[in-house]
Amino acid sequence: MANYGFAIDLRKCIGCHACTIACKAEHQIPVGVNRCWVKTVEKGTFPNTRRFFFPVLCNQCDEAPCARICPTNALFKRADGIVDLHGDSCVGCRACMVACPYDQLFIDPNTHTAEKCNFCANRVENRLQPACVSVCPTECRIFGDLDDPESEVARIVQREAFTVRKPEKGTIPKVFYIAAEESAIQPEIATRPFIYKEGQVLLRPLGSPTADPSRPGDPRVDYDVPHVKPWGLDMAFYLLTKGIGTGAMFLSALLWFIGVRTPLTMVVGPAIGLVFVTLTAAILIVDLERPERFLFILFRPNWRSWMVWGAYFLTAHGAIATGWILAGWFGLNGVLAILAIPAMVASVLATSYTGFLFAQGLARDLWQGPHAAFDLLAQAIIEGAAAMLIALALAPPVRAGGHAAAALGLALGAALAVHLLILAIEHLTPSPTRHHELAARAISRGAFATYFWGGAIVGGGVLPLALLGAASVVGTLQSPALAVGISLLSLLGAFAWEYVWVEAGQSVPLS
Amino acid sequence: MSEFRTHPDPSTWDDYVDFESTSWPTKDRRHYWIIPSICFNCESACGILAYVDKEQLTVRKVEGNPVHPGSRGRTCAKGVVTPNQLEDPDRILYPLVRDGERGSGKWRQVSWDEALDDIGGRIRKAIVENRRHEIMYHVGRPGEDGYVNRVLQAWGIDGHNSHTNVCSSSARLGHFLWTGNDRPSPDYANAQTILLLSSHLETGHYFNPHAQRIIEGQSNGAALIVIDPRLSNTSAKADMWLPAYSGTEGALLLAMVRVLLEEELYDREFVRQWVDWRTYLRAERPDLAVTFDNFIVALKELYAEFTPEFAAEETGVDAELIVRSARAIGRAGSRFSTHNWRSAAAGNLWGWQITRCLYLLVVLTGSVATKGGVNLHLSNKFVPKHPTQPPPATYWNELLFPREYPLAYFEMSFLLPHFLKDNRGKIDVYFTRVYNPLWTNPDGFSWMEMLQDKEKIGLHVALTPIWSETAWFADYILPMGLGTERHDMMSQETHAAQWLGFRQPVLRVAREKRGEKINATYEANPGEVWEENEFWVALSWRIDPDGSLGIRKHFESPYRPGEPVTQDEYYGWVFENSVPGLPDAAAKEGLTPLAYMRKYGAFKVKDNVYKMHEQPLAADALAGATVDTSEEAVVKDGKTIGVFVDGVARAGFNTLSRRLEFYAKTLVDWGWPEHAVPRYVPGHVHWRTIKREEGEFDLLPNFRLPTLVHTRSPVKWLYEISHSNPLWIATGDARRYGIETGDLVKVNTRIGYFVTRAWVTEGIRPGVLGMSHHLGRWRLHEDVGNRNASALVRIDREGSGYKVSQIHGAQPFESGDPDSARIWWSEIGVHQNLTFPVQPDPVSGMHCWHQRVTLEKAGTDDKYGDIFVDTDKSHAVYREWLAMTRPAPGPGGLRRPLWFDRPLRPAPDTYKL
Repeated sequence: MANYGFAIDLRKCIGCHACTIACKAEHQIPVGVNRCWVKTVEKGTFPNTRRFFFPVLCNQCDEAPCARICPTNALFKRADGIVDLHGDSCVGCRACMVACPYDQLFIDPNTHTAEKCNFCANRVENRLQPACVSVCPTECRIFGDLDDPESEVARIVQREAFTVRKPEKGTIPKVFYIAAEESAIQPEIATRPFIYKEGQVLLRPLGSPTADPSRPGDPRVDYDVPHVKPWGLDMAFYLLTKGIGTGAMFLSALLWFIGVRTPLTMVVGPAIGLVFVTLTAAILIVDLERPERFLFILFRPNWRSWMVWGAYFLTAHGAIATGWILAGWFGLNGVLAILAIPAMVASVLATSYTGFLFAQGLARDLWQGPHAAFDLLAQAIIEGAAAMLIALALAPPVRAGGHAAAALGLALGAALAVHLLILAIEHLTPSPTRHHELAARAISRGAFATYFWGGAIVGGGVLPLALLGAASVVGTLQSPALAVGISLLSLLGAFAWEYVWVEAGQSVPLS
Repeated sequence: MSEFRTHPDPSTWDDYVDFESTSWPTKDRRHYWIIPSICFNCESACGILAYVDKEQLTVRKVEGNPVHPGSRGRTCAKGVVTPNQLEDPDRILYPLVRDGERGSGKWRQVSWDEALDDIGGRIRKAIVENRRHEIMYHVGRPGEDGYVNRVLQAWGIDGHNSHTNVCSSSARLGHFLWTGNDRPSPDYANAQTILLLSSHLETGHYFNPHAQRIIEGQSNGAALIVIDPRLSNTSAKADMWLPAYSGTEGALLLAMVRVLLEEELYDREFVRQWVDWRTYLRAERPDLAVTFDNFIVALKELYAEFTPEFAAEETGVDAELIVRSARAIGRAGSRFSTHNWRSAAAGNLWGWQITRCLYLLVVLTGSVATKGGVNLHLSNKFVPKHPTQPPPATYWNELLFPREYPLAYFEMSFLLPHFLKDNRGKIDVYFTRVYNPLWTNPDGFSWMEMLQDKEKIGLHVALTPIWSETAWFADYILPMGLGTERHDMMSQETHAAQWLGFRQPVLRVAREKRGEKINATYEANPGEVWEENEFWVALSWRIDPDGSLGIRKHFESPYRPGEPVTQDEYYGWVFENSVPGLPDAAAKEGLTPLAYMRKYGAFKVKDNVYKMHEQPLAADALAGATVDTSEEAVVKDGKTIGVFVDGVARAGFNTLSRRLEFYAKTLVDWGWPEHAVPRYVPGHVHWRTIKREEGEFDLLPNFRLPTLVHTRSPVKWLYEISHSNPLWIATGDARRYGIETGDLVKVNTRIGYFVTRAWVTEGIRPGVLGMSHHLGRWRLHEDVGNRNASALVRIDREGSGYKVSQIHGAQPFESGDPDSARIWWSEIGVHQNLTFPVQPDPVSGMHCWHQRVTLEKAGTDDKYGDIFVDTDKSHAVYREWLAMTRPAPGPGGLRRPLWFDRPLRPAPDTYKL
């Protein structure tokens, strides 16, 4: 079987955009989205200025992160190495867009499903070159079988110096560039202006490198296509509601387990868990481009995708919470004893899987690493504790019995401290990559600094923690007003961070 | 070698089975006819293939035609968007007649019959009343060879007006003075050194065919040198980029000439054999004996001042780089390829001298008509004979070639409004054909005034597939077919070969393949879109219904006398009778010549055409000829018909002397003795004359983008990439004004100003501003015009001026195409040309595009897209430039030298004043 690859000899590319348009014509690509395009970068000071053309298309990665994250197997790797897509199976979750380090996927506004370059598999099966190859005036694009030693592309890969985009991602790309300029192939280097030399900028990534007026020769992108960031407030709300829901369930089971067997832990807390996890599921479904297909995630599962596992965890969490409420309502402590450990496990899983899901968003360096799973747990406890404290404050009958408030206060304080500690470690240690550095800079000094410092760190972190400490010293946590205040601040802080994490994570240009 | 085909094999074109891409990976099969045609978006004449869906009878996509010798299966972005043009929700599908004042924007649909009767009757009346000179056909890029010229000749009119003088006159004149050919045909693919003064890797005459061959040459080791004050995409690919100040290119080139001479890097034998050095020495150096060595001595003296240091000082280009470039040129031997089309020649006063200086390099290296050198368009372009050849017109139209411009290349088209303002004539029937002078030409508001004046223009008929600023001021708008909706023949000198391309209405061809009987192309085209050829036949029959004017006979079938000629008959005749080799090639496949062309869309007439000037003169030509020993020339009937080269009589070049003319005797005879030889003349915006401390700049307004063709391509996929034209300004200049990228700036010309955004860049020479040519389209009515590519504007009268304000830019709108609701761009550029006065070169007639402007930061009242123009001032500037001319008559009481061609040449005695 063949293994198709692609070489682009940038010495020959003249930046004419014929490939871009031929692709649009072949696949009827709507306005605003692209399977392939030509980015250009200008660099150097007069008269040693240069412009570099950089055509991009899907790398058809051997280790395709888009196919790994796709919950329904809509994205799949063909036997010939092409990564193709079944639009009929796509639910439009945009996870693939988060996973692809090369910004090669988009939602087709006509079909509302993902789309990407597939080396024109429809032509390849007719033994025709891809449209962008066939049209290219200067023949700078070379398509062929990497496993066929006679092919030009195999010859290039064996004999010539080439580079690929972001080899460090481990995706094993199969588009090989000859004579690529560093500032063109690495998207984190060139600055991004607010207009291009031939048109407006539709979407400028907020974490783009900024120009230094004293260095006019620094590379600058002078053309690129707009890239929609796949996730936004929707995901921040998802994190918030899920944190409240799973946190409340976890804390209810834990408190029940250690002996706080009151309406709070037997009914009210789990009810918060059920309501908010159901809300979470609703957000996720509504957020799909094709919400009517949401069951595909459960019934056409790709077990390599954390999104699938997440769906099952949330389902399990919802089922256990329902059982818990019923048993709690009827006072069936025997049943609760059976459910307690599964409830805690399910809520931890439903909380923390998101860390792994985001880490499957290979495009985003900010989301890589194991700390996210722990931080999510801390946030869930903050959010669950805060929600339950508010419930306690607003519904006096629930308050009866036990030391729930104190325990919740303790949990809240501890979780706040852990969360702040994780953020501190995250932001005080050096960034492992340029991409991470840009995202971190957007958080600490850039577009998200206000939310971060004002919301996540001070107003919603240090302040509630301090109040909590003061209250426990003075013993006034029983004051409903104070408890609600501290809880709301904590929720706002957690939400601020979730928003910043989602947004800043996606603020760095990928292509 | 790749086992993948670039295109389906021609044997499958009658039923090509493709997988539907939009439902992939489900394998839905679709059946197509693949029908070749020729792109209609620029003059390159690239071959295209239309995929016609057999079920839906629509053009699914357009690709390059692999059989086509010029474009070799590849196209640029503009070719591929042809389906965008076909399906443009704003294209004009029905004939319209004005239903209110001209320019009021009120239209009603009219029948073709009604329109043809009216227009034909009016033309007939003019012809009968001996007012032929009141009929004018004004064409942008023709996109066809000879069809309409023949129509105009059949009508007996000298009424062909073109766009050449806003495009390439100075390039043409420079080439013509040297070779008698107005266009070069560089053989880039085989060159060893390529020097470009044009940005042929992104635009130009002929972008795609040339770009592929330039890169082919470069990949094979050729050095690419580019002279351009701006970092064009072409400069970006250069091995050596020489950003000379505008208008100093001549100094740069002559410095290279000097290096070649001093370092003995020229082709001595070639120059000795083919250059008119004897004439030059006799005329200019009577002090020297007429020997070739003395010619070299004279050349060295002539160009002695152009030391690399002098050139560096004058052009701003590093001296070492100049020398290095010159040596690369010298080392190329006869494989030095070069081109200059617009850019420097079109930008500057005396631009044609830049072309002559450039061509001197071609001559010195002996690269004329060699492999890897620069061929001549006459030997690389194939133009077949048409069925009948009507006699030339018998009068001279002074609105086209006024006596002030006896050497113009060609019609003084962009001065038309000023000529009419000066009461030099009036026009009764004026055709604008896929031509948008109001937008493309400088000083568009003078065009608007002219078009609005019914005393000056009796009837304005706009032949156009789409809306344009000019069509707005028409009486009739007649919708014409696009590149897949019409018949034409076209050939271009894309490389060292000769070929002929055939444009076809592909839906008509498809339906005929299906067995339908189609009588006229409009039956297969959308709406009531006609093809021009059939329009001209129908119109000519209305002009001369009974044949009494002698016109009709040229529009009768060569096979069915007395009946109107069909397109099958017309092209059938041409392909049978005047394309050498085509009938044989067709017969080999069992096809008629017409069927062969319908199947393949192109035919290679000759390949590897080099050194045509070395052809020995045939015996019959030599019969009765004598030898002029002093010039080594063959003379017959008082005319030089060839030259002796080492004892053999050879054809030589198309000049009067049959040699390459270093010494332009014609210029001397016609009053320009100071320009007898190639020399450096600073342009009208020379940097030393620019008062930078007063805010003056040289504005380079004529660069183009690879994605657009002036006003012909306002379609979604192209505009998505390129939709505005910010002002390029060097970082240092911007800093002085406190301007950053994206800021609004105001650019003042002599007749007005415009407001646009700044693009601050290291990619332009300080002191020079740049702005691309195509963008800034506008419309006057919300729903009429190309909505994805134009701003809605208001034009207000202010004194003798006009103020343009944008009401809004491009906006999404609902239409049958869901993409029109996805338009995300709003700023679609600024129409700078409106603010340029006409600046005709007094010799070539070229509009000298560069502008002396003053720059300022925009004020608080200035809005993006604001434009102001005072047409009184523009007329005053016209008069200033007109005063620079040296009018006819020339020797022999002529209006124009007889050997100077015209696109449509009237009878020889009309050349006499």
